[in-house]
Amino acid sequence: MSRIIVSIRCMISVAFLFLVTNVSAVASAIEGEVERQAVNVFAIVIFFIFALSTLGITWWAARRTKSKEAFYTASGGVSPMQNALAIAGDFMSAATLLGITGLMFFRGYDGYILSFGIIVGWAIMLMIIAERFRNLGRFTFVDVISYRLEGQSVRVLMALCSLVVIVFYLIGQMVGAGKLIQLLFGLDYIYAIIIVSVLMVLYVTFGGMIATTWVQMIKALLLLGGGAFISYALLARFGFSFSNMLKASVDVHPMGQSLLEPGGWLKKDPLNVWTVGLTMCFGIMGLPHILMRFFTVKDAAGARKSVAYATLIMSVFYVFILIIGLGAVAIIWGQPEYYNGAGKLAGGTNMVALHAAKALGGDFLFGFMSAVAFATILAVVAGLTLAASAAIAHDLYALVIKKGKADPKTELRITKISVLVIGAISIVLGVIFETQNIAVVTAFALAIAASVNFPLLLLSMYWRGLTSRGAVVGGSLTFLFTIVIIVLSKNIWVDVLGHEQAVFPYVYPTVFTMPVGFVLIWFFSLVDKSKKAELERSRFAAQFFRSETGIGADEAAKH
Amino acid sequence: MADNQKFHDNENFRELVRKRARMIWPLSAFLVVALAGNLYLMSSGAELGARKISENSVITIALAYSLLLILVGALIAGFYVQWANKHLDPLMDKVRSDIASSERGE
Repeated sequence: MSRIIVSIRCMISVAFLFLVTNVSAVASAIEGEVERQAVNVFAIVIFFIFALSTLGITWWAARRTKSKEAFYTASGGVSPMQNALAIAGDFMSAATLLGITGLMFFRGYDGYILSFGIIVGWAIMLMIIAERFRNLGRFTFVDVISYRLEGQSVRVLMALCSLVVIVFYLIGQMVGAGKLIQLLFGLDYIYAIIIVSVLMVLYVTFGGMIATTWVQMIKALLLLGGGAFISYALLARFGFSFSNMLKASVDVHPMGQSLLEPGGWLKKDPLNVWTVGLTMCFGIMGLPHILMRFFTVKDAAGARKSVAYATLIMSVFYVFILIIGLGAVAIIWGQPEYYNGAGKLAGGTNMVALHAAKALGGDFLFGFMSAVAFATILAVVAGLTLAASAAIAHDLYALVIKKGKADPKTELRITKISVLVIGAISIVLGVIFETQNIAVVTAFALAIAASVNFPLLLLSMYWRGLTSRGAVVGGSLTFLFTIVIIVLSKNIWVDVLGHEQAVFPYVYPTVFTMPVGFVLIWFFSLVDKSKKAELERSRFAAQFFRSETGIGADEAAKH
Repeated sequence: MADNQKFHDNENFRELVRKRARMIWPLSAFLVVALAGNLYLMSSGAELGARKISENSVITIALAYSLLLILVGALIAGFYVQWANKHLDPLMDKVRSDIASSERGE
């Protein structure tokens, strides 16, 4: 124990040193970077308070994280309300706060498609997935899918799909984090990434799910508080009239009334609108780090409550996003203090919410929201890292390599080693992808989630006919198909490979790949006449009974 | 729990399955259709989506619809959890006690 404490202390001081030396070193380098913001003292102070208190919680959680159950799922001891906050904290990323508001600020109403589809998705996930999911699994979503499927190939494929989704999602977060911190705190990109990575590894290795849960809860409260305050202050400027605020925005925006009309971003192109909408709605149902949170409560009723409350929390947050995205236009558009010499928004398109914070609450609110953005990233990457380590240590090591006979202590050690490795890999990937287009990385993660993970999850729960061969063959083919379409899209085919025109003209492939996923998995299960397939189908009744009632789930948890 | 297949005939279990299915599938289908409506207002139906909700307002039908959709999603989530707490949990308890008593050999 004391060794752990010493190493935590050691790592804190390393992180501290990074921050301090670079804040002072950057002052001299700042003139070269037009985009870089002046260092905000409040941001640094608030961030330090956040980092120190979450590390304190990690230290406290470390003493409670001795078993594999505690590490992966906090031993099911999280209350539904806490879990709801943590789910919201796990899911609402800095991309939501900064990306969607920025998109709406420039392109208008269309950007909101990234919000409403998600709430619909969450409400559906609550009803058809949450409770059954809790009843059928213990640690990872691979447990649920392979509940009645024989053989290791399903586990291997699904663990790899989990890892692909998590790693690509993580890359998006890391690069976003690096750029944001570079921008707000004046740190070099590489140090920003190292700090994020070190903190995330500390939270997860020592505090496991308990620490991760607390980091996510605190972050969710900070984010909601900040969002609520900015929305309130914005509306207050217009006599609390949503309509007057929008009128003022329409008056100053060059798009005029079409700011509030469809077409500003997706150009009314039906396929493009549908593919984005479907990705948002169904992509969330295949995100392993989100699904894993459903295991942290004691039973299915707890999972149901936590997902329902999380949906309510997020729907409120998405209303704030709408107010901030469209309302910021009225107070920021064309105001010289928020633009740089080239006439562009200072700091780039993702700065809208932060400029709004500055306009409404001065340096303090700006600093607060910057720190919140940083905290937001940490909470999301911690959740991702935990899920990735579970996929490696639980799904691949314990159940595939050791065939379920792994020594719990060794497994826990492997988990912690995986966390360290993921931390190191995320730094390397963050550097490699620094100048790449992050949209395509995130699109790929969500497309695999919606096209492979979600169909497999749904069919394994509700369709008797699913077999392991259908899952493996159908799932792998869909995976390859998704890669092919992504390569044919503009981001790779034109921008990387240098062809004239993209074969697939959109970013998200889901409108094609998700139906293909369902059809392929269905088809290859249907034609599977093997003995194994018969056995798997015959187990469906027992699985269905357990998924509906949870009977058997409690006994299994005691093993 | 290998022999829990026989409980499929349990009256309370069938009631539980029926009740839940009757609630979750229609509501989910409704949500998907409602989402499709919003996607329609952004693409083929963009002309309708771009209309203002009233003469003096700048708010468009599409924008109002999206806000309403979020509200409906939240309301359905809130309704479902209340309903399930009230109607499904007691049924689940009944199934549990049926099984416990049959395991005691009654």
